[in-house]
Amino acid sequence: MPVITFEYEDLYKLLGIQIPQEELIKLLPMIGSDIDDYDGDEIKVEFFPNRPDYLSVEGVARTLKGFLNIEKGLPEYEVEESNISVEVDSELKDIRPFIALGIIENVNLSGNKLKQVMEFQEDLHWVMGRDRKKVAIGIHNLDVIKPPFFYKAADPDGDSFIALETDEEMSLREIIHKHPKGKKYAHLIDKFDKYPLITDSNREVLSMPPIINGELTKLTEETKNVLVDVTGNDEKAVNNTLNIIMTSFAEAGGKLKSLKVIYSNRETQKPDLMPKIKEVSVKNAEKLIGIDLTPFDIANYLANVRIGTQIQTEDIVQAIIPAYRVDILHEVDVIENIAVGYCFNKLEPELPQISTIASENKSEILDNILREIMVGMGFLETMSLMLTNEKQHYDNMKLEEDERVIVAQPISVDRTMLRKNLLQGLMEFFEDNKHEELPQKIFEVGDVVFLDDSCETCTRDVKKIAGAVTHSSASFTEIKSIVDALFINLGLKMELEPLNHPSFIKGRCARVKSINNKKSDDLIVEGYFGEVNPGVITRFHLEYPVIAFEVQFN
Amino acid sequence: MLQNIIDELTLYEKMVLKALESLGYESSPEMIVKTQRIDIKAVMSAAGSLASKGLIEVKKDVDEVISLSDTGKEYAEEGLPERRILMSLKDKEVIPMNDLDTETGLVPSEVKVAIGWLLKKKWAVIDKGNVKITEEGKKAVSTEHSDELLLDKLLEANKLLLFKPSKLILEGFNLLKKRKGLIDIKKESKYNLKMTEKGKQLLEIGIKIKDEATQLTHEQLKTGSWRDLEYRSYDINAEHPETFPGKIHPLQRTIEDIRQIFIKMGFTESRGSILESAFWNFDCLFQPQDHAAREMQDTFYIGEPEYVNLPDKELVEKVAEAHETGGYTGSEGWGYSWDVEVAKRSVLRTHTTCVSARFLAEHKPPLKMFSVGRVFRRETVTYKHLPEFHQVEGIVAAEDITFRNLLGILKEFYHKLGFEVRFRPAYFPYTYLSLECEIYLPEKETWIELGGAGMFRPEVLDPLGVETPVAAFGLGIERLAMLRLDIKDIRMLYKSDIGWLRHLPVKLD
Repeated sequence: MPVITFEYEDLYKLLGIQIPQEELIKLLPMIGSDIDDYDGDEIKVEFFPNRPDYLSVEGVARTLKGFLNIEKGLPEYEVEESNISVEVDSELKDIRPFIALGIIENVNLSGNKLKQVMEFQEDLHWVMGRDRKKVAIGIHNLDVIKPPFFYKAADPDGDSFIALETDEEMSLREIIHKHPKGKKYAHLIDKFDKYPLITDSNREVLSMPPIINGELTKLTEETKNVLVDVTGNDEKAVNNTLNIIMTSFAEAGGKLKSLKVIYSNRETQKPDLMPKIKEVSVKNAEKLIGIDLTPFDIANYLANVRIGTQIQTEDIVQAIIPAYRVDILHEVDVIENIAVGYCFNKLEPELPQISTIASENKSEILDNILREIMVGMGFLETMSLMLTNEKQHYDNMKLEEDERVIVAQPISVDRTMLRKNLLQGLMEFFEDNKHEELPQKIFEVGDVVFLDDSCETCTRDVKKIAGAVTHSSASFTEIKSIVDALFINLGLKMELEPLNHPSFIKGRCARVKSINNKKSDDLIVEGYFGEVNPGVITRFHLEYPVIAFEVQFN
Repeated sequence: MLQNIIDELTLYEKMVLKALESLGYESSPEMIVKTQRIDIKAVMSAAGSLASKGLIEVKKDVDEVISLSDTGKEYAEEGLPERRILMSLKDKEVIPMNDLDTETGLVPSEVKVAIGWLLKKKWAVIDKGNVKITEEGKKAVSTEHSDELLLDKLLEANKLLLFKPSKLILEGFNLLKKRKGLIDIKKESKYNLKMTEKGKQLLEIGIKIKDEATQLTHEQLKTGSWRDLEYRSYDINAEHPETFPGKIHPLQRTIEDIRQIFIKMGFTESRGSILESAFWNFDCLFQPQDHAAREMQDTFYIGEPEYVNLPDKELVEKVAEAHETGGYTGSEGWGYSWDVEVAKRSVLRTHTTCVSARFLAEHKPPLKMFSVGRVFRRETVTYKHLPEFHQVEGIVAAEDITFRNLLGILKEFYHKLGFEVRFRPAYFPYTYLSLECEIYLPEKETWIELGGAGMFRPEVLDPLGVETPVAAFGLGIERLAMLRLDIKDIRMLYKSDIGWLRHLPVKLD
């Protein structure tokens, strides 16, 4: 989740008042955030990804003003049409088709403001842009360029410019090969024959989206008027991102101007800060939140979170949603905002009056029976991860690799597959505790996963139990007696036959199966037990005999 | 009065009194050990209690005890170096000083010391670089000097109490003390037990001692001989071997407690599959296909089986519509083109919310359901994170379920776990009225986040055919277990130290 850091002073300046720190740290979580740290002059706050408008201190202040009764309801922004246009090259259709530009005059980037704008832009690149794939942003010094602007598909070897943080002119292809940002984001465009480029009427390059801006339009603390470009593959996301940036600048006192975007088949004027209208039913809100509401209450609570309203009927209220709110898709989101504006803390919890009969899952019941039997025999329960690796699972147990669930992009060599057995986990446990007092008697009950094409998920979770004992005179008879006791206490009889299992000593291993009684709900249990092969014991660096069993339930 | 005292005497106390009687009313504890079959510890502890009852007096003397060092032992066996030179001089009378080492086999440093003692004991004199035996020395050949006598005694007795020593022993002790490292001197306490008049009166009344036995046996019970036996008392504070009972794993215990809470609240338990299609894990929970949580860096995508089956077409189509345009759900949708192939990718489930979704597809409200299961996130193993952990998820669906009901269930649930809870707005793609629960830790005086909740969105419910509101909530169990077990490292739960498991009380506070 994105974390933003801002100074109290900046916030107080925007609010126009000082509020006590304790009040602030109580209030911020109520608008949907998690405070990471609030020492010194700064506060670090984590916001949820559905509210990119909170990624600037201006956006945070805007909502707080509503809660603090400083300024409530729909924030209104004036946008003047600039007569400036940007012409979009139709060849960009399959490369990076959409663009929106906006102008903000009279900005103040002095002090730490410039740094904040950069951080805001980077956070938006992540949250809205999916690391620039969906949306990329450029902010430019308007006073050094000459409108109108052109968004074109450029020849990678034909055009060249001085990229940000460099001093030599490079071709577009050179930039994606040499410039650090070029290398980082090359994968977004290098598959195309032409690259996106924004120029002015003098063919000066503003930006090569989504890679890098030109050095020419770089912002400084003295910059007074800026041009924002947003490009991307998703027109809605492009427009929303521009709206979030423009309204944030407006909160800081900037004057907004729109530009005309000329596509080969249509024209639009951006930014378009027209609020979105959603109708909310008073009855629905009452029913879902569980409190009594009038249309006026709804208007009041929504005003706290800066949503405007128009009461239509006794039951219908129109919510007028500002253009920077990208999270409201449904009436229920408006209802959520009513509750947020009411304040979650004030809602009285109330148990539901529905009567239902509880039931435990059969599988969990069996797990607990197994635990009771094993603990009764003096076994200590262990738990291990289901993610394991081939060396541990097969090699160390002297088993041949077979079909299994394989992780596509493992995070480490230790976790490459899902277990099919539990025994190697018990051996690992012994290895970790080899210097502890003997005897050690342990067991694990848990799921393993087998491939199975006949299932919807092409896999089947299977319950297994494994137990192992180590001490200086551990023997086949001991483990046989344990397995027999397990079967007897499950109400089953065991049937044995000799088994050659690579993990066990030859001639000291048995296959065990439950004898099927006539009852249809009888468990079918099968597995094996015996004296663990010394080759396996030593691979786990153990020095005492180990006896073990593992059975599965079908 | 005295009879009362007799009745309360322990076996050992009786034995000590009897022994003292036979030893003339006064003895050392060591003597008592010799006459009775009890060890010194038992005698001393009985003596202590007898003394407190005024039946005997215990006197303590501290004495010096001497014993031989390794060198001392060697000299006691092979003779002091000056004796060895004397034996060579016995035949030769005169030996050049430079030849002494080869003649006697002594090392030069020992020769030097030996010459000093030869002169001191007046066994020899030095004359022009030669060592010459004296008359005194000739006499000494057949007698032992006082230090040698003491060495012999020590060799025989191992150690000697320096209590009122004879003149000869004292002389020998003073000589040996001058040499480096021949004898060790230690202080040792010596006790003397003496019967008091009261003790003697007790004996006059008479004290009976029955035969004693160590172990109660099958034989004794069968023959009835136990009636005539006194069983030796044990020192109840003696060391004992540890017993390690079988136990349920502490994480499992926490899981069980949570299960019991839900069952008591009337919830039905469900289970799902470890491996899920992206469809059930993400798409039907209205997580857009380009959502950050769906990326490779957070989710374990599976290579084998790479793609799995989808449920019936109707559901898939409705989910697709919900994403693209909102369909009939009343939503705007995410406004992108939904890809069925992406939904077929298999993942290790990242939450148990998919279990709830599957349950809702198959059951009609009103219902309460919970499930506990493992979930997977692409994290490296550290003290804070594991790539898999347990989650519990609960849903309540009914016509008149409200957000306040959700808060009520949560409050009750956390209360049953022993926590005070508060709520703040949060965000999950599949819920509205989303919230995070924070619980209060009194010892740390802080609130920590422990679980999320919300009402399932219409975009989730409509395709599943659910027409009532559904309150849902979930939390990670390991974090809760760590709080209860007071551990800082999550790895303890899966790579457990057997010592920790063995000693962790089953009943936690």
